[in-house]
Amino acid sequence: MKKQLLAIGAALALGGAFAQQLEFVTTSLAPTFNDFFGPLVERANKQFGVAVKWTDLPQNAIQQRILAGVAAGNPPDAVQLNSTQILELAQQGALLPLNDLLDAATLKLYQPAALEAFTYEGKLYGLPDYASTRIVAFNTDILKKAGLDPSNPPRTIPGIIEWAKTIKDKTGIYGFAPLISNVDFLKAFQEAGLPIFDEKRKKAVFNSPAHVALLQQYIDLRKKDYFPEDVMRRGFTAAYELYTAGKLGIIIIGPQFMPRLEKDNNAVWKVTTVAPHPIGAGQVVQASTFAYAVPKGVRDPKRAAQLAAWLTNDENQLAFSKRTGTTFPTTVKAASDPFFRAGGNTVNDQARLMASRTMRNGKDLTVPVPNAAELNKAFKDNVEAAIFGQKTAKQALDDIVKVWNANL
Amino acid sequence: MRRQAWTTTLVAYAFLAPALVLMGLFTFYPVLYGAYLGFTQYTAANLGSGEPPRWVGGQNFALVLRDPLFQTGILNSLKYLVVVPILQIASLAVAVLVNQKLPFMAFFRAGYYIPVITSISLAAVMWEWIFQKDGFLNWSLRLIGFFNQGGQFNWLLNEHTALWVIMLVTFWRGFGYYMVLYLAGLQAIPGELEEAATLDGASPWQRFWRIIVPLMRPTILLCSLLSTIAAIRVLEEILVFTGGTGGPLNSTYTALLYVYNKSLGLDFNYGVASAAGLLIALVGFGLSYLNFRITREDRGER
Amino acid sequence: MNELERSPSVSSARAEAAGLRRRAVWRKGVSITLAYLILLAILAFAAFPFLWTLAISITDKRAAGISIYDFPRSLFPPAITLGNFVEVFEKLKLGKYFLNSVVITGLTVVGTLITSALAAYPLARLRFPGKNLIFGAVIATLVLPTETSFIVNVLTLNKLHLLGTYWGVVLPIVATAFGIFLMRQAYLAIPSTLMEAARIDGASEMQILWRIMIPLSMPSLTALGIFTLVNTWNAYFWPSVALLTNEELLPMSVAILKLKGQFNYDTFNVAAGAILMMIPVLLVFVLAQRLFMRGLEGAVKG
Repeated sequence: MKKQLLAIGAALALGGAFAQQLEFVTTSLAPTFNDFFGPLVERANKQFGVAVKWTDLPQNAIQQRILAGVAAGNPPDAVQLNSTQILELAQQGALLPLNDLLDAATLKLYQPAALEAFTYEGKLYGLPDYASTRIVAFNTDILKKAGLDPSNPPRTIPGIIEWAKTIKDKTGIYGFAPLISNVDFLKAFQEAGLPIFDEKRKKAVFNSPAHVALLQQYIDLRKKDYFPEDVMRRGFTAAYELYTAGKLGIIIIGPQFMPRLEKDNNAVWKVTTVAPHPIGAGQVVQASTFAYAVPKGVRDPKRAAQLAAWLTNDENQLAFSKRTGTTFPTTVKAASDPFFRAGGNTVNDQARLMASRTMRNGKDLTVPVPNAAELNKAFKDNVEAAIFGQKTAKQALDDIVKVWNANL
Repeated sequence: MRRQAWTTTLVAYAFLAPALVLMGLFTFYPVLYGAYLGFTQYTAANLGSGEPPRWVGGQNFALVLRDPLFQTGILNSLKYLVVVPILQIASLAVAVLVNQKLPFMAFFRAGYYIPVITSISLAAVMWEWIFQKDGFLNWSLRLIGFFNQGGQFNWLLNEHTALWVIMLVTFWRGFGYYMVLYLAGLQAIPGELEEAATLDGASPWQRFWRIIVPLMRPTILLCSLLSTIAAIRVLEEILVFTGGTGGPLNSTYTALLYVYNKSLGLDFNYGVASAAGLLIALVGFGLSYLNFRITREDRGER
Repeated sequence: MNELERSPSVSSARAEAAGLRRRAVWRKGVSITLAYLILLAILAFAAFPFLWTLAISITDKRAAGISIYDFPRSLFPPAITLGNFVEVFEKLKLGKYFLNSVVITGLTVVGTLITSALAAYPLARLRFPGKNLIFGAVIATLVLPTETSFIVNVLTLNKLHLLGTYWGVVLPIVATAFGIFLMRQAYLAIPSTLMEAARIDGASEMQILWRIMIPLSMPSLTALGIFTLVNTWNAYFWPSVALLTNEELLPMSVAILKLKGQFNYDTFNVAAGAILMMIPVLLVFVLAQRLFMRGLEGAVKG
């Protein structure tokens, strides 16, 4: 029975993929960038002298796929994941630390801030690849109705909030939709220059009066209905849908969404102008970064790490971000390429230019903590309770800090 | 007689063999292994290092039972059972309705099956619009004078309504599914029986309760059991409509969301997830037993 | 005669008879109209999220104008095109994936029907030692946690060298508690007199199964086929895990997810992809209705 099954199985296994020498996995980049990865794989073949295989996986369930690969004893050699995923997998011990596998000179090539985002308990678990950051987009039709001048947009977050209030008061349309759902308020704290931990990273400290005041500001805005409550549940998705429907004046958005907006509602896209994301006291802005990690159980860890380093070297990172037109490299040299300072006429080009300005302060602000699921949930639940008036801001932040400090 | 009992047993196992072999290998074995994991410490780290699970006894169960989040989850999943009787009665009624010999019935049957095959993530966009503050549900309620402009709210953002409107989506997804099962069951009822009852002057209502329901008992057991288990294990709707958070304020945090977050979702802590899953299974077994009792299934065996 | 005809009593009696007839016709007309109104209302409830998906999938995205998230206006596209479907098909090279889906789904449906139809028979109609234990174990898997099963199954498939093959996807999902339970309930609804008559005629168990049980439970068997088809067709998690070493065999459900990448997210294409996924299933459903609605009379005569 088993033999027969195996025979049938072998017959049906059209080109089984067991003979691969090196394999890397990307997150949802095919088929859009097949034209980029095709030649890249060919160069990789030459570089490493073996067959290199590229697999692209949709965002859904990518972690489980990796885990299944690890369990079956044939994980891919390098996997491209976002910071949250890498920190989670690192915490679970499914990834190899890269510090011992690569020399210091290689690591020097990357922007220190980018490396920091993938460091957990002193060890590096991902080699930074491309980053995407945020800009501010305005619906000029709505601005004009509210009597605001689109050519002179606010340069600070409080300025944007003032405009949002004016828009709501004058037109009845929501002015803006802050990205504070889930654990995004952690990023808001950092952007405003408020610390998350003490110096030694042993204690959470985000219940100071300054932190409370920042949260209180959003509680007051919600109370007066200055932003749509749905962003607390669906975050950016809710903001994007409203903006697309012409029901939101200002949106904080990634430049890669502009081509999508162009299709989803051309009329709104046509009246959209863009500005860089304001830089607050923290001198940082969230820049979501992908990185290549090496799973435990790969046949040759050194070689796998070299593959990850090669995939994220100056040349390849520069080529990739030139191809996307909306992302940015994270190596020191590639990031300073003049390409990213060039503008253009369409709002999509402008969006990239503005993003490149934001990117000077860009950093992945995901906070690595042990027991991430539990700690993040405590954070999210309490902020939600505070925004909807079930708890005071002080009480909510005190409660979170208590849970966090019990785990740190 | 003896000989016959032997042959019957042999025949029975021959018929069962393919299913038992496959289920044994791919269902029973992983399920038993999963149950064993409930008594061990087993995380993603074990996968990476190839380290076997470490026996910890009832530690995971104690941890899960003490976790207020798990208690909330069980409570919400039990609340979700409300959808079962409504869904079953409606599905059976719809099945009877489209079982008539009238024109276009094939069209309606196919139409009612659409929710079963509609992608939930896309259907969610429409449902979001229904439940919004300025959405269809509030608009309709205002039309019939239920409340004024000021009283409106987003149904998915209110901790008192969120779970119930998500149940409505479960109802929407389910009734076409159970309709098909009931239709299949209805085909086994001889037409003469119904005709005779009609001639005796039975109203459609009486025919439904006195002929259809008793004769459909095996199908009703099947459907109510499946529906009960689906309700206690509800997950997909919660993931789609709350982004996996179980909000607002944990009012839609179900038992299986707990398991999901402990295993696949975030923690990769398979030991704790399995323990929680086993505890949910206990509740499921109790409810299944009730289902068998309520439908008083008779066995027509040899 | 004329007198008689004109006599008030006769004419009024006639008028009354005609009136009665008219009223009966009228009442029937009302009840049928009412039935159709209810049918249409349920159809609207069932199909409306699908309508949005359909509307977006045929909207010409190059035509400037309204937002797809602006309800209810987005339900009426200003310009219509089939371009989205063409784009999806060409971008993803869906042809290959479609064939994979057909092979995987076909093998699964056939396998499920055979194993379930066989295994359910002894569980419903024969008496043999171990019967209750087996049935209990089968039902228990409906309730027991399966969150970790996929990892165990990947390891098993790896040992059998079936990882990355069609059979690796199919074999673990062929024999299900649902299928066995569904068929068992269908067999239970068949009058035992039919079986006894066949036994007296000296029919073997295989003949009883093949000549009586299966024809008489055709509606349930078809329902099982449809459910298995829908589940397998839409599943993306298990196939993507079982085929993790062999992208070439991935089904369409996994390929379609590539439309949701962060750089190519195009709601029109996502909707078109969803519709492309639905059409084959809906077609099969419509065709299968014949088998499914045939019922007792057709089967016995056949």
